[in-house]
Formats: sequence, C-alpha cells, structure tokens
Amino acid sequence: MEHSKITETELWEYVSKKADDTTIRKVEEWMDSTGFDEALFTKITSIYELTSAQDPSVEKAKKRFFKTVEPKTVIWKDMLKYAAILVFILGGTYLYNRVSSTKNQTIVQTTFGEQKSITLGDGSKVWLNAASSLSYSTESPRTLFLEGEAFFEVAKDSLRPFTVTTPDDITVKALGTSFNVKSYLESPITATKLLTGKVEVSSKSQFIESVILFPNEKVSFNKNTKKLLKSKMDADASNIAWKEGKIQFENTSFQEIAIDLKAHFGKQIRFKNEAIATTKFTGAFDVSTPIEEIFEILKISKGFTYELNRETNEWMIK
Amino acid sequence: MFDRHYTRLYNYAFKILKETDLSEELVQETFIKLWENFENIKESDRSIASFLITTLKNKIIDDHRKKQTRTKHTNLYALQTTIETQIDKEWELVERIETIYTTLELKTTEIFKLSRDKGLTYKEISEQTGISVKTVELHISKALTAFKKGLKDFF
Repeated sequence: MEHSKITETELWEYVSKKADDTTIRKVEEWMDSTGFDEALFTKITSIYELTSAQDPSVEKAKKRFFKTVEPKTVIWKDMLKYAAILVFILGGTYLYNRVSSTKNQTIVQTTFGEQKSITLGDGSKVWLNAASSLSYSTESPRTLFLEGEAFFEVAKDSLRPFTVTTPDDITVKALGTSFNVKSYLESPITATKLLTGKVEVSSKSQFIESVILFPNEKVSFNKNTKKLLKSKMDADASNIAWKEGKIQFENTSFQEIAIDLKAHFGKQIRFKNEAIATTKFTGAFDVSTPIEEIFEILKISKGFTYELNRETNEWMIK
Repeated sequence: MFDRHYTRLYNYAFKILKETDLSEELVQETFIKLWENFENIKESDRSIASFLITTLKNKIIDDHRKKQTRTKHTNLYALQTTIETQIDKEWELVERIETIYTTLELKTTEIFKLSRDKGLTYKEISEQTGISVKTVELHISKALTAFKKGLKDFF
C-alpha cells in the first residue's frame, strides 16, 4: 500500500495533536495497514509522554518563597547592623492596646495575641509581644521599663548605656552585645540569655553582685528563693520563637507554659492539682494553633482534662 | 538560582504526584529548607542541586507515608517500596532527558521544545524561527532519533 511510507515527523505531529487532516488520515490509514510499525508508534508516543513538561508559575512561587523567608533576612541583616539584641519577657497584667504619651513619657502597649514593632529615638528597634507594655522617657530612649515580653535590637552607642528594667527590679545592661532576657511577672523566674557579646545583669534590691554573661550562657533569678543560677544553653535556645510566630517551650512546667498561653489566647488557666501544674513539657506551636489543639497534643505525653468555665472564662486543668 | 531549579523540581514532583498544588507546596518547602540550611551547604551549584533533589525526594516519600497512614493501607511496605523505586526512576528520567537535550544542537533543542512544550505546529515554528518547514522537520527528526536511542530503557 501507498500509506506504508510514513515519517517519524508525521507521527510526532499526530501524537502531539498538531497534525492537519491530511496527515491524520494518512497516519490512521497506516495504522490499519499491514505496514503498521507498532513498536515505532509506541516509541514516539512514549517520547511524547516522557518529555512532558509543566510550565509552573515560577514568579508566583518565587514571591511566595521570599515572603516566607524575608523575616529571617531582615533579622540577619539587623544582627550585623546592630550591636545588641535583647529580649525581655515579663508577665503582664491585662493591658490595653494603645500608644500614649504623657508629658515626656511614652508608653507602647499590646493586647492579647497582638505584636508591635517600634523604632526608638536612638535607632534601636523593639518588637513587643502580646500583653506587654514598654515605657520610656522621650529624652532617654535608652532607659526602658518593660512589663511583658519584648525583643530588642540595640543601636550601638558606647557613650550611652542601653538598659531595660523589669518590675522585679532587675536591670539588664547591653555592653555592646546581643542578648535575650526572659522575665515573667506572674512567674517567679527571670531569665537572661546571651546570644553574642556581653551583658551585665544586676539588681539594686534583689542581689548584691551583678552577673556578667558570655555567649550561649543564661542566668535565671528566682524571686521566691532569691537564688541566681547561671548555666549554658544550647544554640537552639537562642531562637526568638514568638517573633517567628511560634509558642515554644523546652522542658517547661505547665504552670510556666500557661503564662505564655494566656498572653496569646487571653484566658487564664487554672490548675486543679499541683501534679499537673508542675509537669514539664517540650514543644513548639504556631501561634495560630487553637488552644484546644495545644491541650490535645500536650495530653499525649501526660494525661489531663481541660474544660472552659463559661462563668469565669477560665480554663480549668485537672 | 530559584528560577533555574524551580521548574526542574516542580516538573519532577508533578510527574510523580500528578497534583499541581501538592507539587507546588513540596517544592516550596524544599526551597525553604535550603534557605534554612544555606550556611551549612557548600555554595557550589552542584551541592545545592543535590541538596534540593534529596530534600524533595524525602518530602515526597514523607507525604506519601503520611497519606498511607491516614488511609491505613494494609500492605504498607510494598507500597513504600514502589514509591521509592518510582522516585529514583523518575529522577533518572529527568536527568536523562536533560542529557539528551544537551547532546542535541542548540537549534534542534529549541525547535523540538517549541513543538513539545509550546505545542506549535511545524508551520508555526517555521514562521517563528524563519526557517523552512522542511528544515523544521529535519530538526524534529534528529531530536526523535536521539530520544529513541536515549530513552530506550524507559519505553
């Protein structure tokens, strides 16, 4: 038959559905004829299938990617730019979300589940976590008072010290360094973690000798026992989890975790028995995780029940 | 760098997963993991490429396992073996096709891709590139010969 003469390019046209009617007829007649080479036809079809390529929206994916990783870029750059990074975490009472200036005193506050960033007059940056309050006098933006939790990137200025004082009268002084301070008002513990450089932790009333920290060291002060404890920390602990939108705790008592959860979800958590309150947990959650889900996950390692008291609007744990 | 690796990884993921959203998601996560580990990876392009593909392969396997656990397949092991073989086989194919393209003349690759990826007819290719339909067919024919030879293990 005449149709036995078929070229691979015609087959390719046919397989890729770009052939005109003449070619289609020609190929189909060939397929019905004795000259049909099935192996060849299969090969060309396979080539067509194997070389298939999607045309994904690279631009869209790229935008999404850079949006996700951007916070890290900024932190990285700032780490180089600024001399010091410090974080204060203090337990706060119920706070309203407002920025107010009375005379020369500036107060920046956040409510439950809210975060804010502020640039101080000297160029230092502050990220304020949920249920927190930061106050300072406009004339001396390097002398701060904090209740709650905040992350500081301190602009270098060797002539003017940068200090942050907590309600339990502990002062952390940046000595051209980056560091992380954690102190809860509702919790007996105030902890300072040093990332790089050097900090001095002192108190006029709580303890006599000040403590100097070196990189990857932390010091915690217990208000009840008046004990100071200095220890090493692992590199992971230097993550400022809340700033990355996470609630993170490592080998932390449920009582302590409850303070964080309250700051994020705005509801008091009460414990019916001491045993569960002192049980220690390790975990990390996205701040968007519902509190019930966090409870469910914690329950896996240590059983307890939780219930929302509608009258008092408090979580009861037992 | 992103553009170069993205399409390649996405195409690979799509071949296995056959789902656009899931492929996008896993490739996205792969890049984020690269970002997080950037300091630990030697900055030669080779190690970035291999980090990316290893991460993506693991993500595909993880995702597959998660789904299996969810649907509680009985013959877990057999299915896992299948995806693991498939994963390597598909990657081999990706690399093989790339190699074949590099052995072709640039013009041949360009014309073949206009046909395969852009879905143009010979006539349209001829108009776009300013060469005759006969020559277009010649390039296509050359490419097909190379693919027939190069892909014979995959037929």
